[in-house]
Formats: sequence, structure tokens, C-alpha cells
Amino acid sequence: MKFLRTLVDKQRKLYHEPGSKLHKIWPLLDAAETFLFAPGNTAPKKGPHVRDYIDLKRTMSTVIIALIPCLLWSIFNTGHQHFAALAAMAGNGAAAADYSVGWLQMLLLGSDYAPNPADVGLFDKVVFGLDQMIPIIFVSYFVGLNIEGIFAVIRKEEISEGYLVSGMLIALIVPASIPLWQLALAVAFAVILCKEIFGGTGTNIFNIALMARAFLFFGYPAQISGSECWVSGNDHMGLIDGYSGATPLAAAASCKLESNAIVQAEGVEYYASAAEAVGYSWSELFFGLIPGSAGETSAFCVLLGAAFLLITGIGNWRTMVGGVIGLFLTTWLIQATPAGDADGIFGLPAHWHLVAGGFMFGIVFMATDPVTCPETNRGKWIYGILVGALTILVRVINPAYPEGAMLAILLMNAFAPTIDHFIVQGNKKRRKARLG
Amino acid sequence: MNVHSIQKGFDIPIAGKADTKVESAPEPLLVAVAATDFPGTKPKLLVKEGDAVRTGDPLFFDKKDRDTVYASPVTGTVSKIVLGARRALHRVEISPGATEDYADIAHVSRAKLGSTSREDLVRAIKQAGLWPMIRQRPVGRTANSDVTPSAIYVNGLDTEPLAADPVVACEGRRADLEAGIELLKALTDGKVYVTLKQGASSKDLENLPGAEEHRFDGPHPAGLVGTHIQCIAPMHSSETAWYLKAQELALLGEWVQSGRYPTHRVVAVAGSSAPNRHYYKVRQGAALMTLTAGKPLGEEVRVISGTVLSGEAVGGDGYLGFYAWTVTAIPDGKDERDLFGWALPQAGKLSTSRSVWSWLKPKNEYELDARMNGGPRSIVNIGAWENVTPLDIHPTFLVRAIQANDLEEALELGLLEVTEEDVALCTFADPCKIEVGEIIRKGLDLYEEEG
Repeated sequence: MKFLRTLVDKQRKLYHEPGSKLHKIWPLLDAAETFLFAPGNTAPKKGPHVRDYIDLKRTMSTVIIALIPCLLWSIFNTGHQHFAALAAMAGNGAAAADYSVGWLQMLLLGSDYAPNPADVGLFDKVVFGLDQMIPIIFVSYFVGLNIEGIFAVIRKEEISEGYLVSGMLIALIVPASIPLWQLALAVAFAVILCKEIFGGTGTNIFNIALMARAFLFFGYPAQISGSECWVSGNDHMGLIDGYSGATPLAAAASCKLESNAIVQAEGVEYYASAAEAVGYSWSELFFGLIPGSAGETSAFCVLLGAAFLLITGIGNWRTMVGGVIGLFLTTWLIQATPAGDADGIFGLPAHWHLVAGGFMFGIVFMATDPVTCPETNRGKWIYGILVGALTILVRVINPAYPEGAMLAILLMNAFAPTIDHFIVQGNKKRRKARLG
Repeated sequence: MNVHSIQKGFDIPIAGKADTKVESAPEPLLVAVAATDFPGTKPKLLVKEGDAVRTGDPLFFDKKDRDTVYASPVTGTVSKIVLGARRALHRVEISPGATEDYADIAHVSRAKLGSTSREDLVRAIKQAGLWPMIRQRPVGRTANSDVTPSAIYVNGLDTEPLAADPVVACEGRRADLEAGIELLKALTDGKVYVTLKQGASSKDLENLPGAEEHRFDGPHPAGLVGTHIQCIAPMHSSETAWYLKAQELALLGEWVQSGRYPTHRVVAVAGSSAPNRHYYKVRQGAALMTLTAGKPLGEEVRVISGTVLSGEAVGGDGYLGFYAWTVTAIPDGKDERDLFGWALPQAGKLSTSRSVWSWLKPKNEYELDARMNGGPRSIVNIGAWENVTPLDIHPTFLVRAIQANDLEEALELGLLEVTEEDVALCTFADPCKIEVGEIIRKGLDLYEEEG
């Protein structure tokens, strides 16, 4: 440790002082330095002389830790869905010979790896999951952090830690099958146009991760919507092309109910309820054994993360609880109207909505983003409730988008300053009443 | 009884509390009166190096208010005049002589308090060099005597970390305190409030005739005048309140009683790096080494004239400030760096956030140093400020308004209800290491400029 410190101090001379050799890029070197050692600078002569141990690095790394369950799940489930699709498409053992091997599979399992999709173990799934997720995480961080670094150098300020969280979130809210060049483009778009031109971490209006996803959603809809993107295959493989791994919400959205059909048409499947049409049990949804974006399928893993955020006090419980309340109330409200019996997702019970799709992940990890959500406590309640309500409205009322969490949060991001404005206005009015 | 309970806030459990024993400190080898203790004034020197001064002789006055003088707390010779940037007066240093000789200063005796006009009384306090003891809200500077205050607050509790307890510092000064209250009553038509800690008992500070007593309970900032005003009698925007510490009231009373400039005060010496932690009776403006066993503490120690929240780091060879009632010495910690400070659980570190895992097994006290523990960032609001602010203000919005130079908005958001001391805990708790107090002061300066 002492050796490390000596080394750091020695390198520091090369860039720390103005005029030194590498001073132009000091923010990059400072980021590396403070990654290793907490800053040793002391408080100014006036003002508080002691400071809390928390800093933004710790704040952000706490969120990263909270994301670990979802990350692990994304690795497992990506593999799990892949082999499940393979089994469904190819029949038992038939496809093994044509299996094209991914980069990590080649490294770990050899180039003649030929799994029997009906009989694969946890290890195969994890290797495949890593095979898909490592490049996604790498590209997300590589592109995002480089842009952050360049802007920090131009602005001559320390690199802010905001992207540490955004980078992981982006990796977890895109399908594991996303083409990496699209991902890189989306990250660049979100970081440059939605964050850096506003002034960097702390001054952006919209959640960065969701802007990256929205970019993909509207720019390359084929790769992030419909029913064929949610299960990841290998590049140029084609084995699971055409495999329909519809997300539960999409399945529910397009279902026809037996009770509404006077005559059942030929070739159309009819279901007793929207929940049946989902194709998975509630507990499968809860634990996340379903197709979907890489890291958001498991409500259980999200809850683990939420618990960690609440214990550490980094995530705000008001937004989370408000979101769930909004989701339940809106679902019940819609189902109390005559539309509640219609075909499609109208009849899906609220507790199914809760665990399906990206709502839980969104409300826990993205609606609580301290920069883009309201800053007043009452504002957080309102905001959370409206995020929940809008999620359901988009899911249920809008036939084009089966998932609504992303759009709901982005829309509420835009309204967060307005919500705060009215709460703060109340404070001003109270002051006026009190003080005249 | 009027009891106010403060819920939000934080008592920083810093090690190095002072014993309540009061001892007389030796006479200092050097005494200084610093003009920098009075920001916003325009000091004009009345002495030059080598002049002999008596106790109570004016050293400089304020060009903005020529009656207000700043007096020598000791008899001796002006040994050095220290000038700062643009030749502005920084401080006057005096080396004390062997005997004490009191100057004949302006005075109003206790018997005449009732019959003296308010104007004459104010002028006498100013010419005696005691006016700066009385400060005002809004803005938190020396009181403007042109305005009659709606109330005067005498602060008998101090909740800042390791701060001198006014109950200890005022021991045995009942008569002075009573005289002081009479003086204050002559300065205002409004009420004089005395605030005390809930549960504290003090023969000297309790039931002072003429004053209304209020008790405060809860964590810091329960002891700040900003909190007291909002709990007791929130001010109209046109009103002004004056405030002073109980110790300062005792000094004013001493002047009323004796007619002499009050030279000595009782201060607490605290902090884990202080050699002898207890209370000292010491001369105003004394060189701090008087309180640290006669020699200055080294570079590795941060010596603060005041508390760790609102004091000023003056170095081991610095002087006791005019408004300082506590001297705190803590390790400086410069260039001490924790490996993976941000990533490890850090069970031994103090934080208001549960993301630092010391809350699982909290220590009674923490030996804190002056490190920032992080780099500066723009505001990322995780509620750190709001959690320690009991006042009905939105600190983040207030700070943003000031940063945007939007004075009107800042005033509507309650700028005048705070000074830097009210937001010191925000600065302490902030993960983004923003100097909140500095920004608030910038807003208040803007307010004073634009009137």
C-alpha cells in the first residue's frame, strides 16, 4: 500500500501542477488517482472544518452495488432464454451441430462446443450470458466514460461519477441482442446531447440511461421492440431467427379473450384472461425467467437492490412507494370502467403489471435518479405516483407500445421542475403569510 | 415554560470535549485586534506602530459609522500593524506592558440606563468599543443602530460541536447579566428573549428579570439564533432582530457595572489535538499559544478560533477572534489519503449517510480531521441538506437562485432567514462538497449591495 502511495505521489508530479508535462489531461489522471486514494485536500480556512465521509463516488458506487443482483440475473437469464429458444426451435439435440460459438464460449469451451439445448447446465448459461453481457457493458462504459473524460478535460474539472451508474443501467435495460454499434451510438447520443451540453452530471433534465434507450427505441425499433429481439442468439447464427420470444406484456396486449368472442375465429388463440395470455406464471414473472431487456426481468433482484438503496438511504423511498401506488390505483381505475373487460391487456391484474416488464427496475433505479426527479419530498410523491399511472396508461391505452415505464419516466422527468415549482411556491406562500 | 423541540439536525460527535474546569490563562505575550473579524466595515487606523495604548483606547474606527470604535483589550505598545490586500487593515498587534491602565471610556451607569436617551446609549456603547458585540438578523453582521430591533435574542446555549457552554462561561456573572438585560431593554421596544438548553440549570442565566425565557431541545442547529427566531417570533420582512451570546451580554453588563472595557472572557479549549482541554479565562484577542501550553501547535494540527463548524483556521500562531468563545484544535490530515476510501465500508468513519457503514456500530465520538473526503461536484441532491435543516426553507433551491444571481427569487425563498452558520451542517453533510455557506454569504452580500 505504501508502495502504491509512493507511486501515485510520483506520478502526481507529472500532471498536478499547472505547467507540468501532462497537466492538460489532469482530469483523466486525477480520476485514476482518486479511484485509488481518496483526496487528501483539506477544508478551507473558513466554513466547516470537518466533513462527512460520503462523497459522490460513494453515492454512485452504492447504486452500482444495488445493481449487482440484476447484473448477475441478466447474465444467467440471457443464457437461460437463449438455450430455451434453441430447444424450442430446433427440437432435442438437433441443432447442436450447427451451433456457432461465441467469443467467450470459444475461449472457455473450445471452438467445437456444441451444446445440446435440452440438456445444458448453469455453466453453459452463464458462459453464454457473459459472452453477451461483457461486450455490452464494455461498450457502454468505454464510449460513455471516454466522452465524459473528453468533456472534463475541456472543462478543466474533475470527472463526475454520474456515468458509472448510467453505464451500468444502459447495459441492463437494452436487449442482450442489441447490435453493439447501435448501443455505442445511443450512448454517445445520450451522454453528449442529453447531458454534457446541459453542463454534465447534476444539470441534465432527462435520465441518461433512459435517453439512450429511447434513442434505440425510436431510432432502431426493430432491434428493441416487437417479439424477436428479446432472446439473444449468436451473431450470424440465424438459429433462433424468427423465434418469437414475446415479452409478457406484448403477449397480453395482443390477446383475445374467450368471453368477448361470439364466434371463435379459426387460427386465433383465445384466452380465459389476460394473465393466462402472458404465458408465464406470476412467480416466473416475479423471479424473472422471462424474455426481456437484459437486467430488468427479475422483480426479485430489483427488490434486493431496492432494499440496499433504502438501507443505505441513497434511493428515495417516496418515489418508489408513490410509483407502486400510482400503478395499482390506475390499473384498478381502468378495470372499474367497461374497458376493463375488453380484449388485450385491459384485464391484466395490477400485481401482474407490477412484476411484468421494466416498471420495477425503472421505479427503483431510474425514477429515483436524484438529478432528474423532483427535489422536494412532496414532489417525489407526486412524481412517483404519476410515473406509476403513466406506465399503466401507456401499456394499456396505447396499442403501439406494450411497455410504458421508459416513456412514463422520461415524460415525468420533463415535469419534475414543474412539480418542484409548485411545491416551492407553497413554501414561498407560507413565508409570505408568516412574515408579511 | 416555552419549550421548542428541534427534530432535524445533527450533533457531530467529534472527540475532544473540554472539561468544565475554568482556569486562568497566563497573560498573553501578544494580543491582536483583527479588523477582519468585522467584515463589511471600513476600518481607519487611530494608532501607529510604537504607540502606547491603555486598556479601552480606540485602535481603529469604522469609516461607515464613525462612532463605532474597536478598542484595545490590554495596556501596552502597538508592536505591529498588519495590512492585507490593497493596504486594508488586517490587524493591530499589541505587546502588553507590565501594568494595566484603564482608559476613561464612554459609560452609562446602571442607574442612568432608564433616563438616558436611546441615541446617547447607542453612542456610548459604540464609543466604548462594545457595539460589535451586538449583531443583527438578517445578514448576521454588526447591528445597524438606525433601526430599532423588533426583538433582541440572548443566546444561552451553543449546540455547535465542542462549543463552550454559556452556562459554564457565565458562571458567577449574575449581576453583569442582569445589568446587561437592563441595557438591552433600553435599546428595544420589543422583547428580550433568553434561550437556554432544555434541562440545563444555571443560577446565572435562568429567570433573568425583564427577559422572556425559551428552552430548546434537540440536535444542532437547535442552538443557533436563526433557529430561535423562526421558532419564537418569525420576523416580518421589514423587521430586524438583534442577537448576542450570553457571554457577550455578561461583558456588556460588566461595562455597565464598572465603566471599564471588559478585557477577559471564558473560552473553551477543545478538540483531540488540544493539549489541555478545559475552560480558560483569557484576555480578548490573546495569542492562541497562550492556551496551548505556551507554544504554537505544529502544521499537522489545525487550530481554529471558534468551532469546527463556524470558526476560522488561524494557525498555531494566530489570535483569539472577537467572536470566538471556543478554540478547537484537530488533526489537519492534509495529504493523508485512504486507499479505496469510496469503496470500502469504512465502519470507523463518521457520516450522516448510511452508505458509510459506521451506523451499524456507531462510536460515541470520532477523531475527525479537516479533510474534505471527496472532490467538488455540481449539486446532486440526495437529500443530504434537507435532512439536517429544520428551518422551513428549501436550501437547494435557495442556493440555485443565488448561483443564478436571482436575488428576488432568493429573497422569496428565505435568504434573509439564514446566514452561513445556519447552513454549516449542509456543507458538512454534502456528498458534492459544495461550500453552501459561502454561497449564502454571496447572496447576502448581493442583498446588501442592491439594498
